[in-house]
Amino acid sequence: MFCENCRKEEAKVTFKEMVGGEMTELHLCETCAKRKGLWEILSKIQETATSLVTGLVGGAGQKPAAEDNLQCPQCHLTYGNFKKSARLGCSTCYEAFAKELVPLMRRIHGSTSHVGKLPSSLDKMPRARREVKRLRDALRQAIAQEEFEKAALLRDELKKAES
Amino acid sequence: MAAGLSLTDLAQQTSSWMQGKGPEAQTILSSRVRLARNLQATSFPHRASPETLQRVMDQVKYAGQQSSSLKRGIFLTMGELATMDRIFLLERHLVSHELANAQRTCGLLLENQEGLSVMVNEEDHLRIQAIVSGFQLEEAHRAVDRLDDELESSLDYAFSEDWGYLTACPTNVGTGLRASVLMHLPALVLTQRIEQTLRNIGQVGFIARGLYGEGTEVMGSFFQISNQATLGRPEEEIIEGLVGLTGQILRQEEEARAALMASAQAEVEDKIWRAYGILKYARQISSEDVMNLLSAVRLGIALGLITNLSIRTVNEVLILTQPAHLQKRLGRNLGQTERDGERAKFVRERFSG
Repeated sequence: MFCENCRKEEAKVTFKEMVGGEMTELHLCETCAKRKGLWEILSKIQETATSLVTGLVGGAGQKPAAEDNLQCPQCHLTYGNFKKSARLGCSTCYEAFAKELVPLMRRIHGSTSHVGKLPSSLDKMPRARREVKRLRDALRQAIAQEEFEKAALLRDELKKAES
Repeated sequence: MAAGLSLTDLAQQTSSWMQGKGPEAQTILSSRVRLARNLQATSFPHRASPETLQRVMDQVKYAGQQSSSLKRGIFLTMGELATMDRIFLLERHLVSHELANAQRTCGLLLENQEGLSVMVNEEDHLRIQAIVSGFQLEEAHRAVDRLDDELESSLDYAFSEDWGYLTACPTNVGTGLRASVLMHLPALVLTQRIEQTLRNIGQVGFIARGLYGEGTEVMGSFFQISNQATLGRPEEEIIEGLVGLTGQILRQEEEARAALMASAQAEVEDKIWRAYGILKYARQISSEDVMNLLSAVRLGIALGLITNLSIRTVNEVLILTQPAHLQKRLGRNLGQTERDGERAKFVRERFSG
């Protein structure tokens, strides 16, 4: 097999990446692998895959859809722009494209709601409300999976949280 | 923050994360946690005007000066740095590729031991990072969480009740948290079990990346494992998940080392001592060769074969012999031959000391 970068030398090194259960491989000759450099590759690592998102929303080259014309009232980014770049323009985009983003979030994260840290500037009320919501979701899931012991415990916790 | 730590000072010091301290430091080079944050009512960096980007820089710099974690650190504007200095920061794992090459107004806030940093106007307005030596993900998370609280007292973050912390790319939304470990897995590579290991990691919702040679070539054998999902689970749970997975991979690597020594002890020892010999006596050496040979030496230390070298020395040589580091230390530009010569000299000194 030839190097996928220079297409001249024989490929000796494989760069592998596992994202979402998909393995992608890049076969390089020693010269190109050295030129690319491990640190350079590792430094990109924290930045998960534009390709993951563009793959899920369609990406470039896909037929235009009706929602592509949706536009953020704040920064004027269109949903079509987002599908190409996988980058939203500002925080208001999350409201403007909320309906489209829900299924995307479910596929990327397996979830559609935040349950972690809150900015301390928010008062304590939302935190309590959030806990109730988290417990309700967990309870629903436990019942669906017929984990009744777990469900009973969650129900007790929920009662406590609601009072 | 003006109390002057400079890039030249950095070139002379060993970052706290390189010191080879902490649990499992032989196999786990570093643990890292980063948080993505953006400012409210402000376009994300790739859509922001130069004026907006400058305002973000000023606000984050001010927040850093007010924080107890960063007030004695430095603030660097990337546009004011020479190319060599940008590469130097990249080699040191302090900036990403995107920040090192960015054309837009962006910067770096850095605590003086280099364990905590904030990239400003990278993909998000803030990328807050903690990096520690060895297997210490919880410690890294605590440090980054504390700095996040401190910065937040001077900044208004973009946050929604439903989606959590809002980020430019939806893959980071929610907690904005990406945790990772940099692992050295030579025995899994040599026994050809690595493929299966990486596949398993992918199936349980984590991301694995690495570079390695075919067959018995050990190309560094470093792998980075990180979480994929950032939304729907609390921070502690994400960290716990990665801690558990890392523990499993550690055990698999240990099993592979035992299997390797049982079946091919003579070959493994030969490989290790040859690598040691080249590093100790070579007069010309490339940074790629250093990386490969150090991988074997690192394994030799872990197996108890090499006893006169510390993991700290191996870490330091790995980072400090990269091109920009060598040139920064010597304070001048070097041609290829001179660079390979200076590198060999540096390695010899460390291996004899």
